[in-house]
Amino acid sequence: MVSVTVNGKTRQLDVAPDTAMAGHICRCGTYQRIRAAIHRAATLKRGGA
Amino acid sequence: MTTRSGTGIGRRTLLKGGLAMGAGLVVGFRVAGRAGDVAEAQTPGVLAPNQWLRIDRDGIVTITNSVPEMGQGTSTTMPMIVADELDAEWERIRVEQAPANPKLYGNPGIGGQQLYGGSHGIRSHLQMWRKAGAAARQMLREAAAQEWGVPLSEVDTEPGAAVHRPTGRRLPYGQLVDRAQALPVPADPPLKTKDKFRYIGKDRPRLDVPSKVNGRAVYGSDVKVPGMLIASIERSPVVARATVKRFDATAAKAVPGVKQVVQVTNGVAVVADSFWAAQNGRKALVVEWDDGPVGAVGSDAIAREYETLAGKPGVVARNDGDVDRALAGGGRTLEAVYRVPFLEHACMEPMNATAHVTREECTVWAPTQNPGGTQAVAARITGLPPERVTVHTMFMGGGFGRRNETDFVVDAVEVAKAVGVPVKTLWTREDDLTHGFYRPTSYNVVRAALDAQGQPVGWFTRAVGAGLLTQRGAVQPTQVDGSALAALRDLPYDIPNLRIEWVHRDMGVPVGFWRSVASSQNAFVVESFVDELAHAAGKDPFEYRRALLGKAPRHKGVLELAAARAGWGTPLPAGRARGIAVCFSYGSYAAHVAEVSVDDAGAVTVHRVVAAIDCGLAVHPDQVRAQMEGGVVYALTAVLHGDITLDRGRVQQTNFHTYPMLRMAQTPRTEVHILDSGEAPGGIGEPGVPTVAPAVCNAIFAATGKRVRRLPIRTDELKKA
Repeated sequence: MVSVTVNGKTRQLDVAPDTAMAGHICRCGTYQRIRAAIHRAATLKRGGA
Repeated sequence: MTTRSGTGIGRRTLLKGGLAMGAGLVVGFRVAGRAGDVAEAQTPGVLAPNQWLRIDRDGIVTITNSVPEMGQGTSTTMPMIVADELDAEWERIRVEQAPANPKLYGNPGIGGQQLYGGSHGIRSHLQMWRKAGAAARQMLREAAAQEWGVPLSEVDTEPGAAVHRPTGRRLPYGQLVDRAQALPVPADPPLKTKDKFRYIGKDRPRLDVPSKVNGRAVYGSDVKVPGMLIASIERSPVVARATVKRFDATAAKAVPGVKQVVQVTNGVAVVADSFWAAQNGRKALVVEWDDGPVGAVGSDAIAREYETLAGKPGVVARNDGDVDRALAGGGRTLEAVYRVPFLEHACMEPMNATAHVTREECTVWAPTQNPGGTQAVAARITGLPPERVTVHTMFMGGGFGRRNETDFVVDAVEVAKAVGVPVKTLWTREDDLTHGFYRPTSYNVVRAALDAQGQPVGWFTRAVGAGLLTQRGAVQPTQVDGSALAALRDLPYDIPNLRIEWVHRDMGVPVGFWRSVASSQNAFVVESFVDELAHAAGKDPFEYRRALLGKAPRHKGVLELAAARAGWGTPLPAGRARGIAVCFSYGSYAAHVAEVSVDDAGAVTVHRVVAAIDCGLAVHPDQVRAQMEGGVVYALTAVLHGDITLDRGRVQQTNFHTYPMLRMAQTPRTEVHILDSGEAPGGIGEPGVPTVAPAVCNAIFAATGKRVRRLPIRTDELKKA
């Protein structure tokens, strides 16, 4: 699950980070770290460690 | 995506005011003064023993980094090195970007040119920077010894201060600056032993990342200068050497916002008050071109020409034993042809530069790997002496070797000179992909002879392509072009009879230094063919290589590490297979194991990549991992998609719909393992690229029995019949 905030409104998207990020290109190749950051942010938001 | 609104003023203030940045809150890098007045040795209260650092009475340490930041992280690693030997407090460090001044900041790895490529950032500067920090530390210790009237040997340091161990007295560096300034600068100060390193070899958050996350970082294309106009250049449809016959600017000049239309070396520039207006003006422009000699060149013709030339002898680059006799010896022989395409760097930030030219001076803001070349080019165009050209080296949205070139600097300086006000010339994505300096296409014939045990007794390679140095006139066509032979000439395997031949054939397509240069194609050729030999011999591809690397212990080291961490030989889910490859490039040794599956339609999925790297001393280990991870994505993009083709001299790929980039969903799980060999540092920007293609293609063979000998991978060649 990915949540997207636009103009202050947060929407839950029922998609995996890979799908949500499909429109973005990172030429330096940090995808793996971005993916990890998304998962970490989601965990933190759920109150996890 | 973080909003960028409201940051424009901040950026402009930054550029005009040149803020000094503290570690941890860096938003860009101030450019140190004008060329020449950097080492302020005579300024009271500033200890500046060399061009790399200065310390003021508040104990603030300002470090001047010469290596441009293109995302590789050197703007953090460089101050780590100086701060370690200085024994500075990280929080009191400020970092600024060096001005163009090759005398002070030339890259020892590239003959003193102020040019940064070839993964030289750390490996060619480490000792120099350590000494720079150590010299200052030595002077501060001496100053403290004088102050306290004690022997130098009793004075130690801790971060930011000199300490007298016997009495516990302590003096912060800032309070020692005036006394230290009067002391001679030691030429050969003692360096720390490895066990004393405080910053070197340890992970540290990058100074440039916060600004890149919050959008405040100033890349070349973000530069704003008061009164600046924006230019877009209509370039020839043909990739190079076409000329403008005539043009009609009437309609272009009628477009609102368009100020001027001027002809320059690289085309016809539409100068406007916004990029949008410049683009519209460009569309309204009528230009008649003479296509020139490259207008007749196409990819098919290049391929046919190379195939023909591969049948004729080339220049011998290496010749051990008697390969002809070995190949004719009656044993088993194998022959294969390997081909790779042209590739474009595809920096995420298209080429651009900003310039202001007056009668007295020239200022250039350029996202460049080549500050020295930028200065030289601007001096040539303006007729000013180099010291009157100030270069602000901006953050780059990718370099990869594309920004070694100075064509985009020529654009900005020529247009700015013509219009008399500051101008930013901005390329479109289409400009960028169709007017590059391409990784050369190459055609390679490989032959080998195996003895009765399957061991190779002869190896022959003839490579046909356009040599980078030859095209630039630095090497004659009849000579060996070293830039084309990396990873081919230095074949590490123990094979008694070996000949490597090179054929230069330049069809007029500009070729350039693409991340890992010739190693990017040659490792694919060599490591795929070694794999063919292993399978022909009925041996395990890892064990086969390992047995041939007796004289190459560091190759063997990373090969074994990658295999061990990848679980080489252990079972995989049905349909998956592993491939392995190893290569030396840019001072470092890398090996990859790829785990791959291929579906019935021929689509390749790379599930996992395990990398092993021996880059000697890993000054910033997390940055080593980051470069290796990025190298996998960069190389995999080329393996799966990268294919620049030409028709009548025109590059056929214009944007990401025809020149696709790897996306997150295609990115394999990547693990990086650093082998600590205790050796001096090697490069890290490039060595992670070459072995990815052969590891993936060898895995495809293991999975399907189909050998990929032409890149990029074509699904129709892999689909089930």
